[in-house]
Amino acid sequence: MHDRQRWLDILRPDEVTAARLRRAILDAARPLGKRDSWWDVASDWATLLTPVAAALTLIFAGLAVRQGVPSDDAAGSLRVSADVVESLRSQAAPAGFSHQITDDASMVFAALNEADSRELSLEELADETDVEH
Amino acid sequence: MPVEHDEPGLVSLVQQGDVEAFGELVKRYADRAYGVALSIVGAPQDAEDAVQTAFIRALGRIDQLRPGSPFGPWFYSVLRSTALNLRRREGLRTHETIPDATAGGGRPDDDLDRTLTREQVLTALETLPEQQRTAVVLYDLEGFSHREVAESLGVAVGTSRAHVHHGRRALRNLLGPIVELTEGDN
Repeated sequence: MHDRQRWLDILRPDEVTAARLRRAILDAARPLGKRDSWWDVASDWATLLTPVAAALTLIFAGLAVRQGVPSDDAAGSLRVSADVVESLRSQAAPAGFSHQITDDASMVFAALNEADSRELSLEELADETDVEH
Repeated sequence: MPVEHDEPGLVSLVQQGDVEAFGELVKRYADRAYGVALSIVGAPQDAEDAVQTAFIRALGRIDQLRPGSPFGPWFYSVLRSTALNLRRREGLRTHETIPDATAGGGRPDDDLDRTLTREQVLTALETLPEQQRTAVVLYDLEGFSHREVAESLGVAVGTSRAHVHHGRRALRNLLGPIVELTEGDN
């Protein structure tokens, strides 16, 4: 290193200015000082996300168990979702459906009565036949 | 402890986030950086701002410094661009903002103190082209080699020699025989 020109030392700060300047620089630098590496950042995130990951694992595990093992009462039965049931309920019956049912029922009852009376007369006929034999 | 480290060691510690090591670099360079900044911006308060900003920028970019590289020339290139930006942005006019040089300021030799003020020096430096001025300050105030001056300015070593030579000659004309400029080591 060569000799400096001492007269340029007049540009240096006085002690008060120098101390103030150093303090200001360090105050501004301190928050920036500990710059995290990618590993530090990843570790921090991993620490934060561990409880969340555990909770999600438990939830999905529970769902998987529920779907994999059918309940006793549901075994072998047809599963119908609530949406399907609701949509069926909301379906309107065809016009004249109730009258048709009433008429059909009357016809059925009439047929049954007729059948009963026919059976009765057949039995009577049989009895009469037996008497004849 | 950071104090026991050489400069590349300090830089390496700073790159690992060691604030104490950065504090040691600040201790070594802040005073001289102030002189360089003052020669560019002209006003003490602006020089402080430029030095502080330059150190923070340097800290943010410290990973750009290759292991083993000297901190000084790299830092002064950051400081120079910071001071020039500050001067440009605020439209600084050195001859208008130079305060009373007898208040505060440096600690020159007693003889010089009686005959040469900071204002005179700054006014003389202000007449030089910016690269010439910074070359003279880095070479004569900092004691940099021409290689280090060239690295700080981003110019060839021969250009640094020319800047210092012409700058000194201009200063001798402006400041007279008060300033004894040794040409032998240029």
